[in-house]
Amino acid sequence: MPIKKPKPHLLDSVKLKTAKKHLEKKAGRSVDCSLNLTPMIDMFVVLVIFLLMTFSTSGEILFIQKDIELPKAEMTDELEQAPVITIGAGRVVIEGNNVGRMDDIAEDENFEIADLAEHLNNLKRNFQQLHPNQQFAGKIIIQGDKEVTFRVLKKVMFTCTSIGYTNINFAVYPTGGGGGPPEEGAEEPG
Amino acid sequence: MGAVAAPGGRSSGKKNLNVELNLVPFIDLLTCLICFLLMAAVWVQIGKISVTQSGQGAPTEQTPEERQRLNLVVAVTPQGFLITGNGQTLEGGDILKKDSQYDFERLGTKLKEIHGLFPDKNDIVVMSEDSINYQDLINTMDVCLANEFPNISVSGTI
Repeated sequence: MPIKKPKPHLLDSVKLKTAKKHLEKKAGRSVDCSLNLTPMIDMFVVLVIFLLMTFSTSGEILFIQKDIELPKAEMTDELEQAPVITIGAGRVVIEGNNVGRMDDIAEDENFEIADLAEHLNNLKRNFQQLHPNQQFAGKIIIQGDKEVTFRVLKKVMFTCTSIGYTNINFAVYPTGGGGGPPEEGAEEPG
Repeated sequence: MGAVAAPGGRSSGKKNLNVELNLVPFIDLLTCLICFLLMAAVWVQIGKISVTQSGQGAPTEQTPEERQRLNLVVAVTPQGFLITGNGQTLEGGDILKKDSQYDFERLGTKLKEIHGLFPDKNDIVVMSEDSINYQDLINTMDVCLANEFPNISVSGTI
């Protein structure tokens, strides 16, 4: 008799009845398992509500450098997009361009910082070319370290004002207390 | 999901009314929304205090009404505050430092008192000496804003 390759077959110990039950899926546990999604959706909804409440349409206006600590104030308004002058860490920077060392500026007898004036003039010219039908608002943001002395600050402010940036905004960390009172001179032309 | 009982209480032999909602698109949408909001979130809140530089522009002729108006100035010196009106130090306007700290509480009280006397007045000049810290200057302006003087000018000429 030739030797044949064995086919799948039941062991002797398995009864035919049991095999039938298995085949009909009447015995044994179902492998289908439904996940309880309700807590996950609850958490998602709470997260979305929280993020929507803290959402700011203006986005990140200032990049805070680690060696500059802004002063704190209570009566603050929302910051708007404008050129940023950074005073701190020993130098004065406008839109990423270094315009002088703080020590040199403090010792200088001139009130106007020449490099800063040049950059501000360029920014003003650019704005006027890009927005010919728009009035120049003259807004500028000063992001200064809380330890900066007024000697440097006044020279920066004087330079800004002399170019036409008369609406000076000091960037501060709000410590609560709500928004400040309405500003009446905020929309003054530059 | 919630089950709805068939009317009349004859549930046997009726069509099953349990409906399983398809939550997958809803979860997809929420996940996308969370990703977008997390990426666009601004974690550091920054505010501003608006000021103008005092004495900007060409000098103009003052009208008699303007001359009569109170020109309120808060000078910040290393010794403390000095509140002047039209060049004269106001009564109780010399606020010295307390324990080598600026007395912002007394400054606030005095400004509130002045605002009570001149309710229409909303402009103030903050003068500062060169050696004053930025934080002290901001605190002074903060007190002015809190006492309803929103139009702040900063001056350095002492």
